[in-house]
Amino acid sequence: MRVSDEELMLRCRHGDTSAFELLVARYKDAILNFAYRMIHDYHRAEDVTQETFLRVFRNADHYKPSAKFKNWLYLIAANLCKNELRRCQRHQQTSLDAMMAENTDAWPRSLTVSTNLPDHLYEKKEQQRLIEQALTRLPENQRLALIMVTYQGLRYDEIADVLNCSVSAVKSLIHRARQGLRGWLVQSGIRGSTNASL
Amino acid sequence: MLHCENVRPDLSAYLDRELPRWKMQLIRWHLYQCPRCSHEMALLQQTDEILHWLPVRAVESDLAHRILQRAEAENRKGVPIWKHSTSTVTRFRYLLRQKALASAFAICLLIGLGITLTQSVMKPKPAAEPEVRVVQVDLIQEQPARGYILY
Repeated sequence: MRVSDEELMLRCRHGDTSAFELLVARYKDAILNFAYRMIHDYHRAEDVTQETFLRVFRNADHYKPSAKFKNWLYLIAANLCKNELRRCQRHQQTSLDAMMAENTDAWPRSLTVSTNLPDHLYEKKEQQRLIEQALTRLPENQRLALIMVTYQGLRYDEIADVLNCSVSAVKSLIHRARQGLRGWLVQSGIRGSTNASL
Repeated sequence: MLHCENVRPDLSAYLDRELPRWKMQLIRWHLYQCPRCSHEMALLQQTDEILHWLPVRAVESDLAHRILQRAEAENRKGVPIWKHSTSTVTRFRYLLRQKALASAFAICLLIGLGITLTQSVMKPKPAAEPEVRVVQVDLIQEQPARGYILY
């Protein structure tokens, strides 16, 4: 039987490190990917992931069992991502070249095409870069909401909990994010396989 | 019957299946009838599909280990050494130091208490205030008998 996150967190409060270990194993991939989608830099995303779990560990005493652990975890990660993005903006560290270099090694895993033609690969890479670029152009909260619903599979009420807003506000954020993104994708000339012209 | 302006803002929520069942059915029916909203829906689906082209980032195998190591290190900062130290000598020294500190504190406390008590015992009693007596002075004095000299 799967032990709930909340129960593990309570055990963690009482000094059970194996419970914390289990929580890390459950969520490390999700949090790292979430941070990576927000920051677009693997090493900084890894730092954010480590810091997120350390904060969970440090603040285990303050955790209220009534709050959903997953929402609390994403709240910490989202705040750390926001801080990191602001820090990056201040130091002007974001570089498109670095982003491209970062993504290079992640590509082969994602390919669902049956061919490895260099032209095709290049086209896919370019499309990926443009999608990431379009995502970074979205306002912070829209991006957070869209990433949480698209890649993390969070429900609207969970996102509302993380962003501290109403469910209807989340609905609006996601809708505007998709519309905004569509605009950028039209400009970039990216088309999906669905039978509709962007 | 829903109108396009009522349906459009809900299309993203419809795509994510985040609407109540009755509303989902109404929108489904509207999309079946309205080509413009249906096209809008297809565009949203396409955007969502494109977003899924981004790959899932592989996590380095030692990430969990590094997190746990850092957590352990933090834990050691806050927890008394005798709880996590495996060395008996270290634990003994720690406890000894703790006992020495406690003894020093107790001695200081006793000395302080002794001084306070001694001072309170040796303190001279304050001199008694002079007694005030109210003395009624009889101001009426007997007048000597006066003699009258007659000429």
